[in-house]
Amino acid sequence: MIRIATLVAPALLAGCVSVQQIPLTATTGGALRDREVSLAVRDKPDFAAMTPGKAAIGGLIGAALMIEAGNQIIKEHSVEDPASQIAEAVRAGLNESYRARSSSKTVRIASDDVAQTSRDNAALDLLLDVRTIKETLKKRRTVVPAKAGTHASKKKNWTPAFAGATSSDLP
Amino acid sequence: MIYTARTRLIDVKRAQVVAEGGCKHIPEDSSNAPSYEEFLANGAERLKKELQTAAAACVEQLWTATLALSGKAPQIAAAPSPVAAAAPVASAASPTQTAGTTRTPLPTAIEVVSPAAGTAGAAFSGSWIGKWDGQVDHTLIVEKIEGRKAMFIYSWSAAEDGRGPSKPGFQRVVGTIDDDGALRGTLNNGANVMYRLSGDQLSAEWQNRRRYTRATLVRGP
Repeated sequence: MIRIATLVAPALLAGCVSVQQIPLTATTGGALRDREVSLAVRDKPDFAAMTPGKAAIGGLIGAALMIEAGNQIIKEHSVEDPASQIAEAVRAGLNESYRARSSSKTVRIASDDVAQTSRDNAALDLLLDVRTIKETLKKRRTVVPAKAGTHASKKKNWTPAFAGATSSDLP
Repeated sequence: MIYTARTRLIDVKRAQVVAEGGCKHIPEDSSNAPSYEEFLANGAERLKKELQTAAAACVEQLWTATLALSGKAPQIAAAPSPVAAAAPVASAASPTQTAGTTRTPLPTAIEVVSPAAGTAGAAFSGSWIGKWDGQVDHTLIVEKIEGRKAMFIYSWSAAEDGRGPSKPGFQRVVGTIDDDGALRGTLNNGANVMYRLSGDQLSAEWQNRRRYTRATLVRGP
């Protein structure tokens, strides 16, 4: 059995968004007490749907077609970006465990530049930004073992990989 | 299902990242993955469910690796009902306070600071109890009022009939005392709450998107 989704996962995960690992410590966590946490929202990330025809095209054109198809799915079915749910849950954790407080302010951001984001939202205290990096509806191909005397038959299924990729992120 | 995200907590005043971490969700076994058509059937119900699973997995990873919390991560609500949406997460273990007919969890440390005489919204200060839609217990504790800012604890019970939150919880919120005299705030799930003094009671409204519910609160202990 060939699990294409698994095989290409590392490539999908290699996006242009860098992620640092900076965990809260007793000091930084304790300093959150009574501070106000606002939420950042971003435009919906692109959703790439790798349908058989579009995947076969390959290259940037194939990637663009996959994104177009995926975004159409998102629009037609009103699919929400999971980032907002994650942000709410994380803020609840900050709220309950570190006694930070929820602010009613929500701001829309587009930049990953912390200095720029801080300048643009100088009136805020703390800003929680959850960004979906990649989301893709990705093909999985299952090869059914061949019976003696026959050709191997193939069954094509689909497994979604929701990853907010830009066209440059796609493999 | 593959999903990746990055979470950052930014200290805006200092233009610094206080905490940051990534999460990813990749199923170990995709042999039972549904077909393309199955994902999109019934308004992409399966796709939405898979995304919710991915979001929950991300929260679990962030809970320990980035937030440095040892307890169980909160559940992510599927399709919140009007009252359930007021309770997006399960509360951390906390003592349950009995206040009249109201039982909702509250933090172990509550600090109610009496506002100075003449402070706008001073009458909101203290503890209030009631029931959302007559079925979900609610406790409001306004701890501190500073200028137009009101720091309060929003607490709720589980719904007995299943038409509301499955677990009780609480959260601390920074709200505002607006020019019309109402106390307003936004909960972690984006729901807006509004409290207005009416004699010795509070009339309360909760709204999230098109969902709406009301309560009348009286002074708590």
